[in-house]
Order: sequence, then structure tokens, then C-alpha cells
Amino acid sequence: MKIDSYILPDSLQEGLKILDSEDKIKVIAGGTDLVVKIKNGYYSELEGLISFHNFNLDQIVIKDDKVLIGSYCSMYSIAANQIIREYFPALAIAASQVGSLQIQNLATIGGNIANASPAGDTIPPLYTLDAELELISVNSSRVVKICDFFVEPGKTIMNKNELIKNIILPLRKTEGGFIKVGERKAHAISKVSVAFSKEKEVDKTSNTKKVVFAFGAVAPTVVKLELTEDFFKTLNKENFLGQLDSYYSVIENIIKPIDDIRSTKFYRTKLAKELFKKAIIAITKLDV
Amino acid sequence: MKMIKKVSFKLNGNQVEVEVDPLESLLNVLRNKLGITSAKEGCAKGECGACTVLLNDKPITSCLKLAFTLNTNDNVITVEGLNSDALMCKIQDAFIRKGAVQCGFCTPGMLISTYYLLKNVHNPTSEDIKKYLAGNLCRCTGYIKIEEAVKFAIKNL
Repeated sequence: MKIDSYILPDSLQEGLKILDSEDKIKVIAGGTDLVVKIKNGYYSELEGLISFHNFNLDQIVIKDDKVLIGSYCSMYSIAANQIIREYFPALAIAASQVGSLQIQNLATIGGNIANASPAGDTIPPLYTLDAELELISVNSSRVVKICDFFVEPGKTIMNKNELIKNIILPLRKTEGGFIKVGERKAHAISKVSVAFSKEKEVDKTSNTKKVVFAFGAVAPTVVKLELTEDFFKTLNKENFLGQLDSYYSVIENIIKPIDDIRSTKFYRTKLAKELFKKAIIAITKLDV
Repeated sequence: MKMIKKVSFKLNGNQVEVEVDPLESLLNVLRNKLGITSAKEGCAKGECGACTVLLNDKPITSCLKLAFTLNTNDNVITVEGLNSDALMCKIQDAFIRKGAVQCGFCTPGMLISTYYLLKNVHNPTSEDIKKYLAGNLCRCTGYIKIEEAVKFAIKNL
């Protein structure tokens, strides 16, 4: 472990210059994943850490028809924010279930995304909300769809000199939720999670309300399943289980769960279907 | 650009300044350089809550907070800083009366989390208590007496 420098740049631009020119430094935000990893011997080639927390990257603002969530926003600030709670409940709920209260006051959404764990709790909700990421570097900036961002566990399409600046969500009211299953009530890394968001208003292009599910921890990256409101309109108490059955086979085909220290392929497959069922019940409020 | 060696922040009402290494946690700085012994190192990875302190009135696991990221205006409060605080005194009294302290290792963290709960939630329920203390592990008590202590404190507010 050779980390012997810590950098607080005087400006965002200066920081991006340093990120571009220095090879062996890494961005730190809340540190709740990164500090643990460093202590466990990861990133042994790193020589320095750089923090951008002084540049107002922790704001949540509405700009035109988008909501911009700064990458340094803590889980707590996202869970407590009125706009997020009203428009994107799946994200607010997920943020409120990360780690513990102590962790939520340190951990950031940018860090959760950049860490790129398949079990990262804010990621499935972002898939259900058509999130985009604004990535900036010393002389460029680009916007990437969240579903194009992740390559495999721990790996994203970010270049070494890039920083996540904002998470961009379309300003569309949704109803939704997030369910995770772990070993404990708090501090649990998800064995399986599901996020779901249903548009509250009819989408002008598709003329229907989209319902998007996203499963975490069942594949190298989050798995998305998109339905329309039509599916729900035909659901009732009698045909509920039968209708669900057809989607269970879809789910089995799109997820790729593994055996690991937290769970097994078998259990995760069962869980994914069960959480999907719970999500459907939450959306339809059917008494089944 | 600053290669920071010294950080300054508020600790229990006083501005402090201390030299830190890059990977030095706030917990380390508190215990080894600033005479604070309430916060404890239980796991060093933010999972047990024994190191819980208030940062800007919010509980954090200080073992994961790197000291170099602290600013001059950041306000750290530990149990030592709440020794004369009426609410904290009620909580400490309740913990003692209800046998919620055995080895005492988790206790400072539990006190801070309880303090935060009672400051922010009016008439907390059992569920609230469990939620707000979920980030604090105890190996001795089995949690029941801790929950009873919190309820006792609530009654005597």
C-alpha cells in the first residue's frame, strides 16, 4: 500500500487536470467502499487519492425537463429529498436501504455507481428511471445511458481521467419501489434486489405507461425488464399466478445468477421470481 | 492544489488542527491525536458502529471517514462533547438503569445513535428504535435491554 498523497484541488478544472496527468491516483467520495477495499489490499498500485467534495457536486436541481443529482450526493440526502421521493420513489427507497444510517451519511451515489458492484443498491432504480450519467474530464464531457455504462463487476466504460458529475433523470413522475434481500436488516449486501418504477403519466410516444423492473445481483450487470401498463390492466386475483408464470420463464432466461459467498444460483433464481411477484403486488395493490 | 498535511475542524465545540496521513481515518485522529476515547474501533470497515460519532449532526462511522476530507467548518461531536447535554444525560442514565451496558464497547456508538434518534424522531416506535440503531452491533446484551433503555429514556423526556 503506497498511498502517500491526498489532493484537494483548488478548482474542479484543476482537479480534472490532475486526474488527467497523474497516473496512480483515484477519486474518493464517501469512501465507504473504497477505504475498505484499500485496507483489504485492493488498488495496491495507487499512490494518491483526490477528492472533489468542495465543488458543490452534492446538489439536486431541476433543469428544464431533467433532474440533476450531483455525484457527491449522500444516500441520506437522496432518500430525504422531496423531489426524489415524489418523482423517483424507487431511488429514494433504495438509498434509504444502503448499509446503515451511518453509512448513508457518508456514501455517495457517484461512488455507488463507480464501484460498479452488481449488488449496488442505487443502480437498479436508475435503470428503471432511464438514468443518464454526465461524465467530465479535463477537456471533454459526455452523457452516457446507465445501461451502457457497466461492463462487468467493478468495471465501467469510464476512462481513468473521467469523473461522474451528475446523474440525469427525466422529470417524469413515477410510482415504484425497491426490495432487497440480505442477511441482516441493515448493513446487508443484496443477495438479490429488484427495483420497479411505473410512469404516472402516459408516455406520448408509446401511448402507454411504462413499467420497468431491474434486478440486481443476479448477473454481472443489472438486468432490466420492461412491461407496459396493458399487462397490469388484465391482472386480477383469479389469473394472477397464471399470468405471473409466463413472466417467470422470461426472468429465468434473462438473469445469470451465480453461486458466491452470499448466496447460490438456485436461491437467487427463486428469489428473483418472488421479488418480482412482490413488486407486481405492490404496483397493482392486488390482495393475493 | 494543496498537498494537505494538516486538517482543521470543530471537535466538541473547539476548533482543532492536526496533521494527518492520507489514509488516516477520523477515528484514528480522534483516538490517537485528540484524546477522544469514546469512539472505538470494532471492525475498521464501517459495519459495527462502535466508532459512530456525529458529523454535522449526523451519525457516521468514523473509521471510514478519511480525515483529509474534513473542512474547517465540519463539526464533529462525540460522547465527551455531550457530557453536559441534558438529553444525553437522560440516555446514559437510562442505559445504566436498564442494564444496557455490559462490556461497554458498543455503548458510545449506541448512545450517539440513540441521541440522533431522539433528536429527530418524535415519539419513536419500536420499529424506529430498531431502524436507527440497526447500524450498531452489540455482542453482549442481545439488544433487548438496549431497546428497553431507549424506551425508558423516551418516557422520561
